[in-house]
Amino acid sequence: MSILEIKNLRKEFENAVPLKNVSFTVEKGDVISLIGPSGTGKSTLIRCINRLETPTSGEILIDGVNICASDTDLSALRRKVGMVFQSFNLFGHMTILQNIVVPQIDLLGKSAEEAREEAFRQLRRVGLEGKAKNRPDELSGGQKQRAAIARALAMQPEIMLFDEPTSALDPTMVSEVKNVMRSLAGEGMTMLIVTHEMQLARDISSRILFLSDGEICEEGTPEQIFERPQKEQTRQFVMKVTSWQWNTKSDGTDFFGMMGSLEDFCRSRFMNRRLMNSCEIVLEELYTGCLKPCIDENDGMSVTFSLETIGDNESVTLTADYTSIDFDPFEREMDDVSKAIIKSKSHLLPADEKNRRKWEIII
Amino acid sequence: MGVMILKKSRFYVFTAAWLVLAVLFLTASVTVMAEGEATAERTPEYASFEELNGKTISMLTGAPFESLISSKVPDVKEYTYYTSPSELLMALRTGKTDAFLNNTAIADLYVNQYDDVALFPEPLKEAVFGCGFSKNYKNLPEWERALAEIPADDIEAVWNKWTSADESKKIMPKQTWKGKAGKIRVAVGDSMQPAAYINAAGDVLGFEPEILLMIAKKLDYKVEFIPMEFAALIASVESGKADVCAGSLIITEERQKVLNFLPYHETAFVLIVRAEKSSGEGYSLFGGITDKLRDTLITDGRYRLILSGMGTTVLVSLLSGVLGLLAAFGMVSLNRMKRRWISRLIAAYCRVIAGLPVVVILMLLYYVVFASSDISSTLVAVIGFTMIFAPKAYALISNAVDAIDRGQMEGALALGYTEKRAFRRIILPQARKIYFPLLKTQFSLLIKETSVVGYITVTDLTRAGDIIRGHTLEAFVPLLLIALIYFFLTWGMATAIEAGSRTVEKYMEKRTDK
Repeated sequence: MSILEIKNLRKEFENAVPLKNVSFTVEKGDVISLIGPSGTGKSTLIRCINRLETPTSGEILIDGVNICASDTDLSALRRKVGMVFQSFNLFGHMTILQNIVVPQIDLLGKSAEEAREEAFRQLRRVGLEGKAKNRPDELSGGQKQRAAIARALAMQPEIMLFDEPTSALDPTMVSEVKNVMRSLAGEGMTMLIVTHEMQLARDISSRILFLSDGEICEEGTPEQIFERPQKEQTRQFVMKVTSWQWNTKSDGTDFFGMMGSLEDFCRSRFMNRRLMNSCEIVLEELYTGCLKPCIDENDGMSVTFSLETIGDNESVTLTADYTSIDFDPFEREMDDVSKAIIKSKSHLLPADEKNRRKWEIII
Repeated sequence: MGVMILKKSRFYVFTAAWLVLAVLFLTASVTVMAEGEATAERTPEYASFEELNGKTISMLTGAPFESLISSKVPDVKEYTYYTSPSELLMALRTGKTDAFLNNTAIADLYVNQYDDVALFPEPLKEAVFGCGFSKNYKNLPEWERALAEIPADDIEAVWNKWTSADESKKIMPKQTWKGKAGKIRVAVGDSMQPAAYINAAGDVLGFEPEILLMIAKKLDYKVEFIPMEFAALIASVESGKADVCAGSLIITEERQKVLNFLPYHETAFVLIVRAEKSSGEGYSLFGGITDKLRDTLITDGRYRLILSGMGTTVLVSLLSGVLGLLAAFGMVSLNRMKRRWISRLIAAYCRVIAGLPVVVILMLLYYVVFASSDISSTLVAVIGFTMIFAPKAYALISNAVDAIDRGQMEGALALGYTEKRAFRRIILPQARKIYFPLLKTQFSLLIKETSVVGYITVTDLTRAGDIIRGHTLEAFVPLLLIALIYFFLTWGMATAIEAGSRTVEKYMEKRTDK
């Protein structure tokens, strides 16, 4: 029997229908990531699973028990489902240790001694035994989230739900939480994750569900979704979150806007500094050396730059697409310094299509 | 550093206040002085209406005598008003006023007791004292017949006894008769000296109760006296809590509309003025502090009145504080049922209570809601203040609960807590940190608010002070003393609550930590 089975789930709010018709099953040991554009009901779905939201129609079976039925013991079912929130929700009036111990005593009927032992076991698992006596407000965001994970784990859940666990975190603290989740997945925990961290989804998921407009648009292994998406919507979404694009227009091309957008993208991918600098330098030289003079001469021409990361930020390809014009702006003579700089940071790849040039940028 | 200064200054205030108290008590108990004999022969400072021109004349608040006085003394400097005879006397002796108007009972008593005041020779208006019987009381005619049978000299002797300076003779006769004719309930003024008042032990004294006893003895009635504030007398007969009221009531047309009067003694409105200076030193506010202290506390065992008043204040405020808090928690959990009509009902109740003066709520309860029931007035006070305190506590608690992040509840639910348990275990303890300090302040206010229970015949600390002032005719020491006691009461109770809650908190922490 599946741990979790969702059939024709629908959720309506007064002014929106975040979930139209969603069905899927989760088997023991599955690590499933729910991805998709903002506002497509990913969080609503995961909150329906432990009935923090009440579904409008459909069935949710946990271990074969329908939690939407009116006679189910909700509290007992919720104990089987661990939940990690975007905002941690650690109890502010208790220490970290109490946060983990008290629910075990209150809800599992454990003795204080047993609960304490379990709490320290889970704290060790997330690397926080040193913080047991601290209050939540004395911890960093990443530490709070790890403590919240430990609290959920101490209840011995059969499945863990993660509702955007890294979204409220400072970028520097994301990786500690991601690493804890990675190790959990490695230990065979059944997990359902709503996330915007594509790298995490790709790395640890056994299956990925792409949600769009309140329905599962496409599902498959990480390779299928990220490398060979079948649906146009999926392709666009994956492109958007994994690559950067900028279209130049002759009238009022915004050079600084372009450079700023590139930098934002690199940061959001957690690219290391040197690689990011190289990308910036190559783009800048290409633009000022070749493109700018062409744009000045030819009204209405446009070039689309795009940047894609390969692997875990090991290298980057920069593509310039000039299909809309009938000449190659990069044929133009450049000064030697610019040429030398571009050469030192990148090498030209053979173009796969006409009117397209690709550079691979490496450190 | 700031904290240190704060702590130090608190320490100084504390020590200083205790020192003052200690000195007051010591001097009062150590010094014993002989009482000065009042001399009968003395001349008033003003002896004719002409002499009162350009002077200040005082009377009780609401007394309708301005035009009468103006017709005799056309050029009064100003009229001033005081709330009790003892305050009028005080004003006269300290020179704040030059004459005050009152009835002959008060005048006789004051002139006999104090040699620095004298009776103005010309009376202003004749009047008659009467006991006010309920319109529903059928046996008034036999009371009238019995009173007529008592010799006028006997009545006069009673009058003279209670208006004299000799406190040792002011003893009430015991009710030794069987009471075959039944029982009669008499509402008596508790500070209308010499007509009707109570001593520190709560015994009823005064010529009016004694005259009533004389009649009751003839008719073989048992008399049950119910002492209360003057303002409550007529209302208590009207609402059926008593059959008769007594407390130097002057018979007026207006009062006759609601009461049947048994007239028992003639009186008059007279003016009381200072005596000529020859008879010794005048009164001074701070002079003779030991005498005043002894009069306030020792004479007649008056400290007992203060102690019992203090007990009542503590009892009423503590009980209604605790009950009000419980009611507030009840309202919070009712409101959590998420039924719209319940929430609306609670909101409406809070609005009604917030919109009514405390005194009005108490009087409504005592004279309307519980008018016909035999429930004690202290209990009514507790009910009243519980009703008043509950909405305040409720508002504090529910605001604090609303201030707790929604995520706390969701986190608890997700772990498997039921909503009820999560509320108790997770939400309330966090809300407590917000509402508790405010609740403490509200409780201090409650202690002080209870000082109006005198309106419904409860003798609390404030009322005890009033009664003592009525006896000693001196305001400075009782007021200061009452103020000090209130200060320490509110402070002490706030500190006790703090200490208590800290102990509970520590205990809870230990329990969950293990």
